[in-house]
Amino acid sequence: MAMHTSFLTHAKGRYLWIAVLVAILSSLAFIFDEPTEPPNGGTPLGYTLGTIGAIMILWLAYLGRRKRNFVKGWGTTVGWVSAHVYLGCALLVIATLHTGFQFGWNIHTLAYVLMVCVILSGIFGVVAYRTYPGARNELKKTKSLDDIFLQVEEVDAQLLRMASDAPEDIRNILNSAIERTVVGGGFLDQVRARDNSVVELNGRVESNKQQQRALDYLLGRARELQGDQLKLLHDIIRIFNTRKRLLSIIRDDIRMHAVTSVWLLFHIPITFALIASLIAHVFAVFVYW
Amino acid sequence: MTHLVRIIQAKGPSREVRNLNVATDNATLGRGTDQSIQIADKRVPLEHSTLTFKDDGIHIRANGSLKFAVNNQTKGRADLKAGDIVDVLGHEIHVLEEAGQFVLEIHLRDVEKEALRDKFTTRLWQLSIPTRTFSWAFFLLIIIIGIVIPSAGFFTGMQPLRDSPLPDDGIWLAGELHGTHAFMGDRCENCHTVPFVPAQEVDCLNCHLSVNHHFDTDALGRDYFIGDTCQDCHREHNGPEAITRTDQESCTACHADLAHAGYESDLQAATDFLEDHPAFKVSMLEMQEDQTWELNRFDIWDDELEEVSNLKFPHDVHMDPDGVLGPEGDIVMECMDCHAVEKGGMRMKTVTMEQHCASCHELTFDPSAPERVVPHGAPDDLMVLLRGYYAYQYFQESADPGSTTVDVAPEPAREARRPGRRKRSVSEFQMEIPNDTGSAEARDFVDEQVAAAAERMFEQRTCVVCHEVVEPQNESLNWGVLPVKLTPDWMPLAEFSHDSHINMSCEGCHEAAWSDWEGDVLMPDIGSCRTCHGGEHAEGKLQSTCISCHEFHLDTQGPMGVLLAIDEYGFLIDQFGNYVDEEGNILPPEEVALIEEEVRAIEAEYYEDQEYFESEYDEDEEYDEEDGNSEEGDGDSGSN
Repeated sequence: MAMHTSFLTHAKGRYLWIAVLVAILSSLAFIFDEPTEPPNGGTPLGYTLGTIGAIMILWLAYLGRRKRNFVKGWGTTVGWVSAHVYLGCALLVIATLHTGFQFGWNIHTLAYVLMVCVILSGIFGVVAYRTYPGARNELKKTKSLDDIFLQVEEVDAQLLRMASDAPEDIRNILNSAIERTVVGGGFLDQVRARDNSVVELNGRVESNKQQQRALDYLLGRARELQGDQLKLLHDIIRIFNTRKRLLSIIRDDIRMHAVTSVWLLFHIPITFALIASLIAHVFAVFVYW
Repeated sequence: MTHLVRIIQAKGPSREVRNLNVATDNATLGRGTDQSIQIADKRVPLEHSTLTFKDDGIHIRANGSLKFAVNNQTKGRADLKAGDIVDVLGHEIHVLEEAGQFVLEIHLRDVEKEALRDKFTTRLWQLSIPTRTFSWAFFLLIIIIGIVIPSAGFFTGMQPLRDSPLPDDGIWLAGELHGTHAFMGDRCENCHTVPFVPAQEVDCLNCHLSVNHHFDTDALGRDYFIGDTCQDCHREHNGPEAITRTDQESCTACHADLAHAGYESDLQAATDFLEDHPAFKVSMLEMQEDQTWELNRFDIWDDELEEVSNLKFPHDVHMDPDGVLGPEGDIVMECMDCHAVEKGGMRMKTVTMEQHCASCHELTFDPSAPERVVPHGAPDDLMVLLRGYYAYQYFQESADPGSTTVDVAPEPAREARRPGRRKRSVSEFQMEIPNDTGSAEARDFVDEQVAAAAERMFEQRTCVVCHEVVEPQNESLNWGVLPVKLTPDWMPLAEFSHDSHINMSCEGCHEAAWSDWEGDVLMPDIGSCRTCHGGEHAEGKLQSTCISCHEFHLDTQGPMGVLLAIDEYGFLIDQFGNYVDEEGNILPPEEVALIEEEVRAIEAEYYEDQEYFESEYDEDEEYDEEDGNSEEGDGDSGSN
């Protein structure tokens, strides 16, 4: 937990206060400014906020890169992240005031919208980093995902052993359920924790989401069997339930890990688009000055 | 019957043994999960073979073209006995006989077991999403759409781009145009003539030729101050409503201290309407000795201030709430009866005798004929008219003695007007009637009647009621009337809309009801306005800035724009035909002389060409004519 709160509370929230101060100062300037025309990016304050905003965008983009370099230099990685997060939020205020709330279907508003997307995806990332690593630890009881997978493997082997003595249909369905269990997968499978597991039952392939179909079958068989067979089946069902729970943990972990990193898939390409549109914005402002 | 299958998996030095009971005589073998005997090896087909348990052995049959090895001999089917070893892709099936039963012992090949996790894609990075490629693709895409393609318009012409579905300079639009400029649509180059150069004054003046200067530019220099452009006050791309700067600062920068700002002026300083604005002055007409009128400025607070329009008009008499006596009894008058606002709401319409006074002030002249009136006009005309009237009366009485009235009224005198010519009084057209025509008696009658009527009118009851009757200027008349001229616009330096103040009463600003003297100037002072209006930052008052009342571009000043044209020889001229430079400044005489010399040279060359062409095509007359005409038309229409 300490790691995850540290960039937000780094240096007693130094960058938080700087960001709040920057946002308040620019807001006050906007409120008390009396431009000779409706507020827009072309008033003296508009140019000032725009220049600050553009420099901040480039600096924050560099910061985003810099914080990945564990090279010797001034500042700590945590400090860079802290500055990146808080000043990024302050940029939202500065750039919005720079627009003077004038929007349209043009390159200028495109730059603004992309900037908002970058900042929002960044905020999403902060929230994800705040929430999911802790939740994942809670989920896995400090075990690693590999450990959970090994647990599943052991359970699988145990089930197969037990299945040897069980009636053939039970052996088959256990074989099939284990063999055709699926976790993870493509982008949406991971992000939405989709369960594509199936099971072959009486020659038909049926969905085995949450291993429920196989479990239902086993429970159905429990009503029919007797004696040692029933006892064996009860043991199998108990262990099959453990397997089901472990798979569920794996899927949740995959989902949370995916969500924790998915924002970056947007954050970085949109940042590139933002810098391009920022260049085009400045170009457009001065080509038709 | 149940058959035992023992599956042995070697795990390093140890081995795992799993017993499987197959409850059928026809066991299937393969990788598939529905097989009786499952071999979890990717290379093993889903359904490999069928084993049939018989009393004397086991029959094995591979599916389709699949093969296996029995005791190192490749076969598709075989009958197995105890001690046989079947090899299925490296996995050995030993046929044993235990307690009279066939038992299969499957020695699984030591397949390196894949970790379960490796079967699945559990992390996003394993998907190899090309973030870096996307990033650069987005970057380039936006640069190309936002800069490269629209900029190409500077080389190919922007219009083809605008007509095509490609992105054009429209995506650079910083904001909606003002309503008055909306007609220009997407033609940015109308104002932005040179890329990377701010729109210039000349770009505005190309269209706004007639917009006027703020002050006498000849006296104070052409520029307002260095760097000043139209854009200082007029900023485009702020939507359909806002284009003109309205703040006080734009004016007070100079008007706080004109001398300090470098302008010599009689104007007093002003910085805020409520806090710091000079008292109002009025522009009032004053009659000079030669009876011409001159407009002069007066302080509204001046005790000596008196309007001398030469009209006797006490407002209080006319504004009496009980009414003023008219021909048909008392009439309660309202301001609007005489003072009507011109269309547009700014100035008042001129008050005229005919429209506003004549309904009460009838110009009667003969008590014995009270219904007879004379038209309002010049004294000379009146005398002619009276003479005519009484001459006719004499004529009527002579023709019909005893009659005291005239049946036919004379044509009223009127001003004769012709387009483009000065107004002339009808009296100039009166026929000269020889003096010796008619009897002395008649002349005496007319003279006597006219003199009596004129005296009544000038001195007692008609003219003198409203006019200043004075000594005559010429000797043809016994009376003179001072000309009347009402000041048309008291405060020409401000724009006041009566329409905007329609909800107020007239008396709120003009104290006419209490004015018993025509010399009163009934214009309101600044305090009257300040009751409601304050400066730009006033609290509890209507916030009014300089341009709420004052205009920047003054009608009294010359135009800012110079109509630049190119004459037929390629030289810049202004709208008056003067040779000018690109700024519109008239060129000095020495440069004009050079140009004129050049023009003469061009003309000489042109005429030489003409002669050459004429001699060349002399033989073919028809062709010559045609060609000659078109040559003139194309070449130099200006010289014709």
